[in-house]
Amino acid sequence: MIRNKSLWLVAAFCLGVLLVIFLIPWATLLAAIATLQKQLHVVLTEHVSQVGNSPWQYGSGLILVSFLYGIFHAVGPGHGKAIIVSYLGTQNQEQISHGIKLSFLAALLQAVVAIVLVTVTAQLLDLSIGSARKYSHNLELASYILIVLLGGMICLRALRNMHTLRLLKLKRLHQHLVPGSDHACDCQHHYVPETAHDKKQRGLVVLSMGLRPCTGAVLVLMYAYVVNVYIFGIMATFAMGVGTGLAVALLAVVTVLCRTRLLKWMTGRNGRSYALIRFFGAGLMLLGGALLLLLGVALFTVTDIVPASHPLL
Amino acid sequence: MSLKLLLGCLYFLLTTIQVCNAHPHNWVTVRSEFELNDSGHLVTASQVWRFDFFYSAILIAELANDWQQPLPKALELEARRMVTNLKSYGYFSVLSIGDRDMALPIPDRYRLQVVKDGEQEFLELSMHFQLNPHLLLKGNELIWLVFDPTYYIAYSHESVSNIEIRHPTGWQCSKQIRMPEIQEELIAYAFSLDRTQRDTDGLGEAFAEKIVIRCEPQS
Repeated sequence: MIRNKSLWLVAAFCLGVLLVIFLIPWATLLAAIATLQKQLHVVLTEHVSQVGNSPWQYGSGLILVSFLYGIFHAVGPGHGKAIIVSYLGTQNQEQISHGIKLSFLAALLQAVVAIVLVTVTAQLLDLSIGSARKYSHNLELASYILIVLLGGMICLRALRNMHTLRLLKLKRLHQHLVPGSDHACDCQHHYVPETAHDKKQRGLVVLSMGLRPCTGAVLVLMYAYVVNVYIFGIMATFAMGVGTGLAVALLAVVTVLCRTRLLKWMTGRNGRSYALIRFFGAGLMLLGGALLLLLGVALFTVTDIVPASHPLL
Repeated sequence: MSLKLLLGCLYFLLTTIQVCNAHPHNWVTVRSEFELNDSGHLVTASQVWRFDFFYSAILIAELANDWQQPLPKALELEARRMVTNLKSYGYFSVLSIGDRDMALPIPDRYRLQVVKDGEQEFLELSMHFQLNPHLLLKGNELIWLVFDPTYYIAYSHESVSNIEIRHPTGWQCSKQIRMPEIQEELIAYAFSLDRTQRDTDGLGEAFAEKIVIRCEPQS
């Protein structure tokens, strides 16, 4: 009965995903995104151009526009969002607060990487879009490798957990893994002790999301450098980071809420189904790891190892 | 069959991620001009690419660094570099008449210059192509696409006023910009599993606007 219910739910979920993919008016949506992005680009340009003449007026405007650009940029699909959704949607130990922290840390790391990249490129190397693009490309590849590592690490951990659960089942022991706790388990674990593994995983999530700088931020920084208002470029980049962090954090909260709701609903009122607990514990974790592994491999595969030189850059 | 469908769906998702990652970061406004001779043959095609303000400003700053030359000379050298590089990309342009694709020859004239619009400076690259005068436009549709295959730079004519047709007296021409039908293009692309995953050259084309020109002598 429970198994049938699970299968129906999985089927309904897959159908929902397919409907979303095929029913979304991609042409209109992508055209609207491209238009809005171009408009924001123009507004950013105007503000960076004028900030030298009127720092207070255009400086504050630039920060506001950059913040909005960050939100807008994060609203569209991208590899960072795929990572956070796959990760938080399948890792039971992660709570809302973790999701918010991860989102902001990754967005701020992205801003710092962009600033370091342009500072090094502009001041120590040769200041060129081509060079910045080449280094961004290398960081992009590194972030894809980190996604693979993260996926692999989660898969291994999930398999280890499954093995432990199997042993527990064999021994007909059904209790918390926390030493000294022997109460009857309803398996709605509200508190799961944090382990070193969790911290490592979160570190990898932040690195894989934030290592790749936003090209928009890189261009704003380069232009700010050219017109001698670099400090405003740095502030604009951080404002973009905060905007991005906010949008991704919202997505993270929704993901964790969906996961916990679904888990609660599926385990039912008694919440004692061992099969479901195993599936949604280690099984879901394994699924998340596999998804991330697949995502990392796929992104790495579709990206050329040597960046294709652009004829105009 | 179901495995193929599953792989197709997966590939579609991955391609979508790739498309979204490949959104444009620079923009070019294109002006195109076509010239017909007295007998209605297409004899020249030329285009002017105006780069966006960011790209223009950064590149102007880079030019002095890269070429170590005064700006007019650096622009000349940069124009040569761009045109040489663009050759293997077909100058980012596809010209077809009556369903026949016509490869563009090496431009006989090209130029990179800084133009002022108000207080802002923009870079403009112009290229002029002398065509074999055997391309008869009468009764045929001319299709013109200008796009960056990687979609790093988005090209657009923006309005039909940026398309100029010089035709002999007594002829009438219509011009039209058709926006891309992205959904169908992408789905077709995603399901073409025989393509390698590294082949992303379909992306820019999928987002390219199509210029359609028809010319007929007036009776």
